[in-house]
Amino acid sequence: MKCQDVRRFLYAFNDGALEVKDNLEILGHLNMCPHCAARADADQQLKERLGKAFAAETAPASLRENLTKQLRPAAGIRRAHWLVRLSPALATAAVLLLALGFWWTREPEKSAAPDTNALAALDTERPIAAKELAAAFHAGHLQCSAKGRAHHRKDLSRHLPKLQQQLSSEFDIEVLAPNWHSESLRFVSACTCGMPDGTEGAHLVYERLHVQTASIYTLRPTGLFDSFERDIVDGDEYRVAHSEGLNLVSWRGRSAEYLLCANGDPGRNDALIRDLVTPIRIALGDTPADPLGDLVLARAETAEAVTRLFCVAPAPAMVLLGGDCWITTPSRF
Amino acid sequence: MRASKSLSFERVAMPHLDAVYRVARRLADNEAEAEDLVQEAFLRAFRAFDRFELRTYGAKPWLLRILHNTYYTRRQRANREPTLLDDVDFDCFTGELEPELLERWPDALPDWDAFDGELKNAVAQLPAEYRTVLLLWAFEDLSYKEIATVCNCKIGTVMSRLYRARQILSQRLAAYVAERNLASGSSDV
Repeated sequence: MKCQDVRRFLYAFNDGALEVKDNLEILGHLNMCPHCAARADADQQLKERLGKAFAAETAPASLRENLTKQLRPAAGIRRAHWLVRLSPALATAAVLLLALGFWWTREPEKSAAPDTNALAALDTERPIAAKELAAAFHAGHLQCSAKGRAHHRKDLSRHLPKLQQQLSSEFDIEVLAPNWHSESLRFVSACTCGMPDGTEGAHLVYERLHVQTASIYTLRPTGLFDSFERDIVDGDEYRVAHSEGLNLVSWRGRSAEYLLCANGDPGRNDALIRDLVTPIRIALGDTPADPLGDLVLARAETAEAVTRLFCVAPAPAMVLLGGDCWITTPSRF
Repeated sequence: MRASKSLSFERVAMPHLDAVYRVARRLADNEAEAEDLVQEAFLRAFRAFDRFELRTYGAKPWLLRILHNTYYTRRQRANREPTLLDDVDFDCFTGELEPELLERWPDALPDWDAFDGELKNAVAQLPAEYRTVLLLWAFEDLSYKEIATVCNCKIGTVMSRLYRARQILSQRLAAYVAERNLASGSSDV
């Protein structure tokens, strides 16, 4: 490739908008041509600088107040719990959300700079204990052990079917690699990670609009999550972790909040969730009388309501279906 | 009902107020106009909230699109309609640009802090269509597809406008550097 050819597509290259083959060709040229490389760097710096130059600009407080006044009806409204308001409890498609701490080893800078809106929402809308639980769990309870032969190996395929094959054949990790493109989620990357007991798993990262980040962690059956493995709940079989591996999805929205979803009968799920949460809370020295009492809890009765939940909330995560463990999205209920 | 709707809307829309305002501020001539623009856009969004398909694009592009439409509607009303570019095919577009425009772009850049004022001026002077895509790209970090959704145009148009906006900015900054001898040695191949 000549300089002129490269420069035609340099911006698209910087923006990640080219096909892999074109990317590689341009990358090859940049490695050899300092002038084009300097141009590429300058463009990236320009974008960063533009972002910084205006990033501090926020809407005036008066505008926010005016809008809030106009949006709310004249009569005083108590801020009801928005999640609960979404849905009366019915059995068809119940969704439970609860804050669940889960370790996160990738992109620590994002954790260090949580989205203020998300945290504000947590502070005002959600029980504080849920946030603390998640944060504590995130910080200390289940950190990546950095063990394992392939820890943090990042050269995994970005092609989901190939990734699935690669993890299965090379690492003996059964992985679910859903294509969530239709949900505006872009698959970003995958890496392998070690658990405290040395077990290896795979971390799949998805992004929506560069704001919401979803991570699927999948690993082979491990004793670490024994307390999660409940076969029988109220007489019904739930296979949370079996030969398919245990799959957890954590959603961050740049906050330290993690959510777990399940569908099915609300009462039945309460029992399941209680069994999942209690040992975590005990481990954290947090032993409320009712482990679910101060956790975020929401139910939705229709697929539409669940979809709204999916989009409005930091989003659902793991869907446990009777008889098997699935990662899915609400639109597929 | 209204209470429920307004709470839901607040939950969805208000977190994006700063982002919408930032874009509005760069589109509008002054602060007051920007606030007015945002207010109208949010009220329009609220009225349309029942029809809002969140799942497709997410709240921010949706709000920005309403802002974009509000802005252009106002400009039309005020007979200040910006000159809209035709949809340009990216391949046809880029061929005519490089490398002449950036001959003077220095390989080694000086401290960017020296450029902030110039950069803001350069952004302000961009045509509105370029400014919009640049704002969405640089400040809000939207993808080409998302920008196309917001601006209701083709991805090729987004790419060509963004291409030209970056070229204009780079050219201005290169000239700025050259005038002040802030960096030495410009080269090209």
